[in-house]
Amino acid sequence: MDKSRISEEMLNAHVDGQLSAEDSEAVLQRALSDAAVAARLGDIRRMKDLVRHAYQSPPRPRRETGTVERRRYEAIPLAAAAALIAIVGIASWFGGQRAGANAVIDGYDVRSEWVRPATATGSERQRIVLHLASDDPALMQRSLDQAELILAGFEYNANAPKVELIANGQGLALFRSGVSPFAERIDALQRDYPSLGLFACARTIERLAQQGIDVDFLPGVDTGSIAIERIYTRTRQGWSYEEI
Amino acid sequence: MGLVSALFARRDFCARLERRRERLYGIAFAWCHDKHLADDLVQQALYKALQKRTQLKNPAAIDGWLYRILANGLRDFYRSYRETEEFDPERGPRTESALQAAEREDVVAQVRRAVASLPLAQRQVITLIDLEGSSYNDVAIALDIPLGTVMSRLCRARRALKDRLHPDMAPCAGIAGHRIRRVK
Repeated sequence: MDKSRISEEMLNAHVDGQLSAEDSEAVLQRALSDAAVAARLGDIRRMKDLVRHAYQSPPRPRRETGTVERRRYEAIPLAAAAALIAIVGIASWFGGQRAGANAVIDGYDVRSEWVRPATATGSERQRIVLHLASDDPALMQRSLDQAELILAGFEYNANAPKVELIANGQGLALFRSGVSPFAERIDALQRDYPSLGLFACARTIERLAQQGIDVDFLPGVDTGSIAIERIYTRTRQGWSYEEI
Repeated sequence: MGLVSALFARRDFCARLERRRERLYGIAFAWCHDKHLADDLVQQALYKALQKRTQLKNPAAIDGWLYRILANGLRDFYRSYRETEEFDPERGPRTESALQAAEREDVVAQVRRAVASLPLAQRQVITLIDLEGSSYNDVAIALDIPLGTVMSRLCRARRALKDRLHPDMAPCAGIAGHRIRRVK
């Protein structure tokens, strides 16, 4: 180990007991002679202790008792598929009567034939459109979580999925400079996952402009597409669609 | 293998899975911060593990194998499910005094919020290492990412937590039974 410079990774590895005895000793010796290194070690240990403390007693759900075999498992994917079918069905049959803004994009109903549930099968390259129309921070975070979850497992895979996160209406806040509570994370996601595309609806931007609201966007956000058109095109091209 | 032997093997495997339920739940909760979802994910993971038990070639590697199944389950869930339940931390044990409980709740809630605000990829790495004591190598295998990625995500996660948490914040001694260690 180069003792003249100790990286943050090395300090973390020392605290986590992942270094060889020799390297650990070198880190300790350095900490004894360098207060800044000692302070950094202290910070890392404090974070580790806080995380362990925070999850010592996670809240417990009320659930039936039983074992792996006896407890009836309600398959989450099946439940999700049922929910999607129900939502799509309601949107299709009752048109604009569905409560909530997500069923309608720029005044158009999302038609059932556009919407295909995500099907991660075989070696087929996944292409997924995520659609956000809300400025609820929880939903904003969920949209970023979903994008990252899809991309994270495949970042070193040549067949990495492509994800487009499209925001319109209130959802535009996610991409607005000075407004978005997730600017740093979006920046990091773009660095980590080049196949992630971010799109702010041009029609929403135009409407805001008509109201005298001039909006700035985070770097890397594409503002040249209308949400409804892009989603329509992508689903026609075989992309899966998920509303947040 | 005879039928009786197979049945006993299955029962033993179930028992091994059950012994890991609580730990898996702790990790699942730290990843998603939703107690009901965490419970479902763990049940799903254990159920899948039981179905695929013949795929576990090295019995000693069962923990990493379960983490991988759990991580895949969470990924699949977020891809297909859009429930939006709010983060809901619960209070500490009843034996604590009101003041202790409030103090503990404050630290616990703040740390959980800070962890919840991390990108999931970082959340998964830091919780496997800090809560489960997993080695970097085991985490790399469980999450199917390179070792260097484990280290860089861990660094970023701890740096972000440090930025978001108050410098004087510390675990409540006597309640958690766990004190901050000091560097000489």
